[in-house]
Amino acid sequence: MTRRKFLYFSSILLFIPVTNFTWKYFESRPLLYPETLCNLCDPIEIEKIGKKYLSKTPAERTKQRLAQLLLTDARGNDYSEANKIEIKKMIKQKIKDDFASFHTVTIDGWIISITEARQCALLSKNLN
Amino acid sequence: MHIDARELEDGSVISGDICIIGAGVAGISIALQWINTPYKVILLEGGGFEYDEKVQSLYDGKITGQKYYPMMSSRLHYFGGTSGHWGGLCSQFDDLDFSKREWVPSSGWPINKDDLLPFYNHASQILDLPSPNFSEEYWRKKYQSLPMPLDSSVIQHKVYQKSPPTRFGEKYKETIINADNIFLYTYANATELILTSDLNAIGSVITKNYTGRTHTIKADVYICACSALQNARLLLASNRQVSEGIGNRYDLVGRYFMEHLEIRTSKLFLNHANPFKYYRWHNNVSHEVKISDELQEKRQILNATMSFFPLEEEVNKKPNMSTWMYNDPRKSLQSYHKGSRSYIEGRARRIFLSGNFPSYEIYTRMEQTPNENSRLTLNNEKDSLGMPKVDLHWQFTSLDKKTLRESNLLLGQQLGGFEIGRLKFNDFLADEDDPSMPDTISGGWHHIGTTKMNSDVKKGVVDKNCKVHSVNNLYIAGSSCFPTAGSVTPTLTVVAISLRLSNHIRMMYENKQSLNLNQRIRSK
Repeated sequence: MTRRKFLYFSSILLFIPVTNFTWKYFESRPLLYPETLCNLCDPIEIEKIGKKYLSKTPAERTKQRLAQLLLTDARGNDYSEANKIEIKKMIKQKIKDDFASFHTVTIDGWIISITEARQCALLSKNLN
Repeated sequence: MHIDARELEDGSVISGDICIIGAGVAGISIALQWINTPYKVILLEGGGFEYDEKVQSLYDGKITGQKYYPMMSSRLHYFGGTSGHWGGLCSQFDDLDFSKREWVPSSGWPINKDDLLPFYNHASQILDLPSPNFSEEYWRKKYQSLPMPLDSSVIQHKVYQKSPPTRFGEKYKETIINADNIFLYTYANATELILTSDLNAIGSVITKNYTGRTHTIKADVYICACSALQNARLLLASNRQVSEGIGNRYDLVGRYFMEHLEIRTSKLFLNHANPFKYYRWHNNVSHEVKISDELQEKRQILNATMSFFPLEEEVNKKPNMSTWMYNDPRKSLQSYHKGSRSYIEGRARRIFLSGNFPSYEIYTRMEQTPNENSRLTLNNEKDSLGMPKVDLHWQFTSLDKKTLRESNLLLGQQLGGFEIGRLKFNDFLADEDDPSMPDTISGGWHHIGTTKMNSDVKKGVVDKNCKVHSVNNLYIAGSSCFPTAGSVTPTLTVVAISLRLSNHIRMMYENKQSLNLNQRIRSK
């Protein structure tokens, strides 16, 4: 095997655990993990959705603003002091409520909840 | 009785009580109702019993506007008509389809669904459907299957049933030929309607065929049942006595041509793979989803249904508009089936494996906005029998694209909200500010609306009984009478409305109104 080929295949082998590790990292942070979309799309797509959402919503371009919006439930309650399990549950309900009240956005053809779009946006900011 | 008009003496005059022009689904359905009655029924068919290229070429014409299938191959010109290659899908129109909708221009029928219901039941038998019952509840109980758990104020379900498909030319040939009072003339192309001298009624029909023979048919009552395109063409071409054509005083004949838009609109990616049994064919019954009537009104959109096909079956399938491209309908059909090869592979997968698919292609079939600029007109060329050919200008409005997008958006919102999956628009719908329609948008080979129904003579060609306004004895059968297209395939409604027309004429005879008519016609 030539040195070039060795380096090529090694980098592929390394890439897999790195990406898995990265995804697992975000999975444990509910604000950054649009669960359904992550099951259906690859990270590149998620990042693309996030960036496109940010380009359409200049008022939500900061991490702080996105986090604030994500941590506020439909009734206006603040979840910044809540634990991860409670936040995850709240976000899941928020996504359901978004769809039920037609609060969706279409990005790259994807019909997603506005909450999911914000998660993608926050994720894309963290990846950069 | 059958007579081949190619062998009939040139210049023959044939008389009867009722003359039905066209032996397709509508014409044959009507003729069947008159068997064993005391009336002589003349049934005219332009072709024979098999495909004949010389006859098929009489359907040639030009397409302008939105890309459409070749005129010559989008219908069949022989006994049995386009039932010779139809797919068999049947459903009933909704109540909404008959109503006046303020956001849909020129909508509203002068009849409602209740007027058609008795005839829908009978039509189901003629088309060999599993049942005349199209209630969702009935089929849900019968097959113990469940739909997706969606909000019924947003998403409802439409029942479809499959005809075998009934090939009218095969199934009803012997019945028609053996009927003593039905006189089937093949190779009798109606090329002109001749009015009586007072211009208030049809006095005769001229028929021709490629042997050069011309014949004259005289009857008390005439029914044009030769398809939406040909019905309009015949009225427009009969312009020797009235220059605008028969029934066309207000320039409506040929206008409001409608098709069903049938196109892949989006993809559904499921949270969990699912065979979607409720939406697949089972014992010739299936379901499609539609937006509720209330939400259609609120969102100001047209009626549409959406169906689901496993994505891996669809991924290499070409749009119908790309495959159905030959003048010869047999070649087009072959090309269409070749384009479905991955469908066959996917079906095999479904048979041998569990049939659980993680993703689906969504097809939307929708009615088109009634549009007076979507129309059929005569052009300067003539066919081999001397009848003017036609131009077909198929045109959309912005409401058509809005409906495609909104329907799929509402479905996507429901699928997301109930955690079933996520929907992704296909490219042409992704940008809500883009009004263009792709060339790949296909029709269902459903020709509708060219002699539409309205009680007001200035708004319709025929009245609520399908009688041409201002022509006492001329009726039109079939989908050319529909003011709106509905979201479902039209054949069941074509048969139902034809049966209703037949019933109306029968009642007229039984009320002896025709006696006065007979005396009036024969005296001219």
